[in-house]
Amino acid sequence: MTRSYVLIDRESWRPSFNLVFFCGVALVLSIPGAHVVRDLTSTSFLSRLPTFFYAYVLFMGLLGLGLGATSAERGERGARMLFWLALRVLLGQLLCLPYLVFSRALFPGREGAFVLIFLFATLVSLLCGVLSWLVEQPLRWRSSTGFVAKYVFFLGYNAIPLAGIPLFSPLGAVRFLLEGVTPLQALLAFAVPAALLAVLSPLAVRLGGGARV
Amino acid sequence: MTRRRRRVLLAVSLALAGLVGGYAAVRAATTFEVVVGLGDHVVPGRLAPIRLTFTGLPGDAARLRVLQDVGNAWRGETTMSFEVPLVLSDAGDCEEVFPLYDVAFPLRIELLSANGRVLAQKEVELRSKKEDEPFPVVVGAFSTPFADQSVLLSPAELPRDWSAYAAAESVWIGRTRDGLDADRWDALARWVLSGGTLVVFTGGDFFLLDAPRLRDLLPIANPILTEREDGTRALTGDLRGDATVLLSKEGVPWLVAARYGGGSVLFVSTDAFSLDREEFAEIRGHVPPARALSLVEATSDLLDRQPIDHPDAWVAVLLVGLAIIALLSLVARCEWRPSRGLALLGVFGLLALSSCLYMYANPSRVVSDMYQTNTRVSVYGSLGVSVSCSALFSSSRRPAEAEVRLDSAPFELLPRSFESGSYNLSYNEGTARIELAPGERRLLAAQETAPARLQARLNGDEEVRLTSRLPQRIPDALLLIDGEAFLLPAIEPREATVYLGSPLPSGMIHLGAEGGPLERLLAAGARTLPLDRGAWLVAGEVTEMKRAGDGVRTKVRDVSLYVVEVVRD
Repeated sequence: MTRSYVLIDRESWRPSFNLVFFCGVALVLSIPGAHVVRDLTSTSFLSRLPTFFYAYVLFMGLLGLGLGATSAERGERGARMLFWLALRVLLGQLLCLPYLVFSRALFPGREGAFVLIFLFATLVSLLCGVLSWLVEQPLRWRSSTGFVAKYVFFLGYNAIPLAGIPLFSPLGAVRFLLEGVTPLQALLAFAVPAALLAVLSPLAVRLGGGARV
Repeated sequence: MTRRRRRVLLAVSLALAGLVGGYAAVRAATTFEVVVGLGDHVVPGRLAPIRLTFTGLPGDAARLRVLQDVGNAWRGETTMSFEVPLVLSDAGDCEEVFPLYDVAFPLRIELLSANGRVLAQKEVELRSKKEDEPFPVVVGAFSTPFADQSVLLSPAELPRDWSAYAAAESVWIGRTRDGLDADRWDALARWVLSGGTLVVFTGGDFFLLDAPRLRDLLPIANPILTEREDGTRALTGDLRGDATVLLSKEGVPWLVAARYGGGSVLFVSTDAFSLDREEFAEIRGHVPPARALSLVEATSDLLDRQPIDHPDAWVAVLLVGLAIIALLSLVARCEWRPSRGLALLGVFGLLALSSCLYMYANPSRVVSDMYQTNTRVSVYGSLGVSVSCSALFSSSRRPAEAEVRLDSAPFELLPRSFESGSYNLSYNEGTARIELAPGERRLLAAQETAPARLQARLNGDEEVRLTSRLPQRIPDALLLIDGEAFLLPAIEPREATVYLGSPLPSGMIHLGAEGGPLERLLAAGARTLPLDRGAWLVAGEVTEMKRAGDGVRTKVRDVSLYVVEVVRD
């Protein structure tokens, strides 16, 4: 008998651990190592980049991929799968909350951007979760090719737009949101994951046979 | 259309045309003449006076804007804009001092109304006015023509602002019909105080020039006009403490030099027409060039050493460690139970709260977007001048705007290439606005007139009387007497008598923290000001603050040094 409808447990803790560990490392690396202005001019390449937020959105996406696979393995399906997936993503956000609060010292006065990035990361994580469930769910296309395909998609989604339209990449969008965007740019940044989620979620519900919540 | 209507239409059209024509005529009548530099001579990279004489000045004229394009296609181009209120002198002209960067482009001068409408404008070509080096400025008449590179000015052409003399190597005052007015003597005195060199020919012309400020400048006291055996009239008097007789004739001092603040005054006891060419050449050999007090290097160095704020790395490591331990102990090693979920929520909520409290308890640990070091050296004698410099560095991840308060139009140090960012500068009523690209550094220098708010009088060898009209307490102070340093207590904003203790060990001149910002600024000042000779009071303070505005958090450090020439009884 499979134990389903658990937020996090011994079998599924690894994606959460990766999130906490790598975001923590990125947070520590984001702190400028310099003591005086002279050092800032020559070093701290990482402190100039929003390293923590890059790691945050990247590992929230990976958390989604992991959670989707776990859901598929446990046979969760339909709207119930979506509900538990959303709760687990929110738990991931809770695990990052101490870091998010701490990172305010590195990006003061941009609390509005923090909220947008939080929502954006949640959306990306949910999208990745649903996509992963669709690939991994046992009735359809479960294969090593599918496993590779979802990571290739994730990599492509993060990297390819950076070359042309960075706003459409989660990494680029985070940078834009942090440095200040117009409402239209913010809308465009959210549009891609929201549209993909809007297409894939009903598909996942239909494939899952409309199970009870 | 009826005839009556046609007539009305015609009348209205004519009236409108008359109004437009009249307005245009009034506007066309607004013109101004411009003189740029000292006698139309400028040295690029220095401050220069601009004098405007108006014809038909409209009543709504309120402001003056000077625009200067700098650079070229290879170097990149930038525009410097300076806007100041239009202030007319008693003579009806307007004199302002602006930095001059380049002579390749003409200078654009605009007369503006209060709401920014351009009432009149003019472009001034600068190429023909260019000098490569500072030059001697000769005022009044002389018996012998000067060297080719000197610039001859009438007393009325002399600027009234001391910073306008930045292109002068020395100023020579010869025979003038009506002498100089008090404003111009004050401007010259301030320039000498800051490091300038003034040569004054007196003799029979002394009483044409005589003014209280001139007597303050001269290296002799109680001047008396005497007639020598050869019939020439010479001015004699009691030599002041540090005056040096450089040349004598028949045992009578003929050329006397003395220090005045950071500069020198050379006093010629005869008039400008009693000397021949050889004697002029002899005098020239003794005239030191003016030295400008520059804080650029010291300020840049102090900015480099300005501490930066950031959260403690070990606190971040502790936070990450606790988060990982909590996750491992509550989830990875135990069977899942709902109580574990609650514990997880509680622990991570507590960690988030701890982060929040850490930020609240340590506001100085929050990083700044910009770091700014402001330095100011105020030199006080009977008058005062102030030289300031602001250095800024942007650690922001996006272009950031900065505002710097300066009492006069600043000079911005420009790099060889402008490709890395925008070097536009806009100065409007005491505020310079610049934009810094991420990782960019900027330097602004300004020279200002300041009332002498701190005075010191040495009574004998044991006590010094301090009078401070500064609004704040100055924590660190030293008295320097011929290179020997005496530590003083903090200077309060009132009159006080301080007894001098034992001097500090030889060669030890520490102001504030050892190797700190005050000591570095003092070293920069000592390159121009002869602090190893005579009696000086040096005092200073360092203040730090954080400023937030327009989404940019700036950490500002102000380093102020007061250098006061001490009067000895």
